[in-house]
Amino acid sequence: MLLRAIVAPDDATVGDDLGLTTVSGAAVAALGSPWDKGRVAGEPDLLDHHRIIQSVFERVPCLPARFGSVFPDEDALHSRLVKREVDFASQLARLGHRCELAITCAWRDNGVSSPVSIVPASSGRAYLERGLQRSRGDREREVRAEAIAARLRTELATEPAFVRHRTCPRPAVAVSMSALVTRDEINGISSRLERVGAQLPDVTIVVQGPWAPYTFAVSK
Amino acid sequence: MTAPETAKIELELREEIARLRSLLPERIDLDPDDIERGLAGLVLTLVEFLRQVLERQAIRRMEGGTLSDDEVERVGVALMRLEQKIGEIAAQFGLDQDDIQLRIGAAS
Repeated sequence: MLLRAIVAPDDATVGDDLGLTTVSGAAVAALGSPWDKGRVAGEPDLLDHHRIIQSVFERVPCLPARFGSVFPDEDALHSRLVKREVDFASQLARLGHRCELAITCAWRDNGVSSPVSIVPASSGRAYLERGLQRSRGDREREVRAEAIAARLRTELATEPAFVRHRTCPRPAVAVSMSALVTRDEINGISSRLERVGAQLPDVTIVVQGPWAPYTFAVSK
Repeated sequence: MTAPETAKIELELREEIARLRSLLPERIDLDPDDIERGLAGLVLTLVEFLRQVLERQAIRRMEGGTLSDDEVERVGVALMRLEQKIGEIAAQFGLDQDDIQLRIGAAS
């Protein structure tokens, strides 16, 4: 049984027409799909998981399950659900009605501030000094990325616990941020971020979503 | 070395170990038809990770002036040759060095 999402008991039938199996607890219900033991998952399965969660999320508040939460059968899922349902119910009440926006700030220079030399260094010292220059460049980028993240947080004007970010997770990315917002906030936030993006000369801002609160829900 | 410096180094080492943990997969899923390449990728990623840790330490000590000119030269040459050798072995197994860097980057 592959867990898809956790919903409130009153919403337990939401997955019926999506072909989902419902496993009910007292405080929450789990929606899952049959999954053969030993089956190897591929990219289509991951996309399918996302599509199913979005379908549920568009109808009712839910906690999305991380892809790969597999249980031997419905009984195993039920016993796990019973153990954690108080926690799930609390998370669902706190997060379920909110949706997640993914905000990515990509460096306009694609993270290459100076060309990387492919010529071997002429000496051991030259090699380390090249590394030192790279390291200083990385530190400057990190400081700049933190400043950008702080600016975004100000613009989002949402509860700090509802925003998470990483700076410089990849060379081309300055900030990768996830924000939990209500649906009626989305248009206003998108407009504000667009305005900020026009004021930042070194990054391009891309907003994706709304999605179910993947980053903030822990239903493993 | 002062106590705050020692504490800082200890913290950095802990962070490096945390990164190393996230580099190691929970399960090693090796393709039986391609076992050498799979293992080579894993081993080279670990070696490159350690090389980067040593390089950062060397750069920090060079910046701090705690390495003599001779030591800077010897450490620099050793790290440079190690980087070249990793590239050569990766190529022998048909691996792209960018893939190794990406694995390390994803664990940061």
